Amino acid sequence: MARQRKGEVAINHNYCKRCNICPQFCPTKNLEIVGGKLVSYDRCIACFACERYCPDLAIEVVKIYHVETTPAG
Amino acid sequence: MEDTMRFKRFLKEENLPTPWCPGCGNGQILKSACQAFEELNFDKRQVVIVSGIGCAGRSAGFFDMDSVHTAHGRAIPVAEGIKTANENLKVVVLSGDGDLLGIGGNHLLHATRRNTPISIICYSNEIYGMTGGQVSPTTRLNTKTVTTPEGNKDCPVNVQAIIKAHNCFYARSTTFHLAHLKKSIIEALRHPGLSFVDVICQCIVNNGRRVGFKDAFEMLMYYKNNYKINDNTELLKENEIGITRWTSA
Repeated sequence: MARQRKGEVAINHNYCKRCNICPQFCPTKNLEIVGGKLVSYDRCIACFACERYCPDLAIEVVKIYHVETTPAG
Repeated sequence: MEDTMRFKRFLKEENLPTPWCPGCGNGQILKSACQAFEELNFDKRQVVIVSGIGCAGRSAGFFDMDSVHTAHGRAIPVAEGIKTANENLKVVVLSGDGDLLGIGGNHLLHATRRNTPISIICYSNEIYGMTGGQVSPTTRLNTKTVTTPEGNKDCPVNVQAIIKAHNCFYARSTTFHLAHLKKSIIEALRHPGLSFVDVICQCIVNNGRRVGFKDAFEMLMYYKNNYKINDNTELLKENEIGITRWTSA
């Protein structure tokens, strides 16, 4: 089963200065600077490291709550 | 908005983004100060922010509260004046090391002597960053700067001794230890007399690159490996950060 993502990284591109702090703090390599722009993939585990260390208030992590479904029977 | 971003109510969002360089630690301190205000549940009308000149001096402009951007080095006298005029206000000084210890060093000395109940948060990036990286009062020995190309020959100012000499609150933290930084600011704001938080922060563009760091992350990792937290001491050593014990004499 593929790992479900637990959070979504909302990046404010007007505030982001591409200082390259958050991609190196991310434990799952979810953030990357591609072509002068910060992008996030779907491996977020909602650890909030990027949000805490961002000096420019550009990142906001939104937790995703998955509803647990148990198979019938 | 998530709970973790509720501190943004203290900031004027139309003034953002901050004018600081990419990777600068000032934003992290600004954020931690707002988080501390949020944790203590401050009323916006009860807090006044005072700042001086320099990179760190720009921080007064972002607060959605009463804030004063004063002359160079004169942040503490203005803060003391505000506190004397209205004792109910919480006065917080946010300024840099050059402003507080270099140009305004005399005012700091006399503010600690009078023990005026204000909180001072010092952004100690060990350089005069805004003017291009000249040697500042907190620059370490043998550090290369623009004005000391063969290394700084003078020893840095011992801030802790100045503050502790008059029995005021002193805490030291870094921008890597953000939880500890927030705790230090909260303790400082709760303190009944003058409180001083010395925050070691990275200046990658004008200091770190010249010293040999590749990017801001490397400087943060240096803080992680170099500084140990020690909250149970009266006098911090050079490689320790912590909240010094304060005894009411």
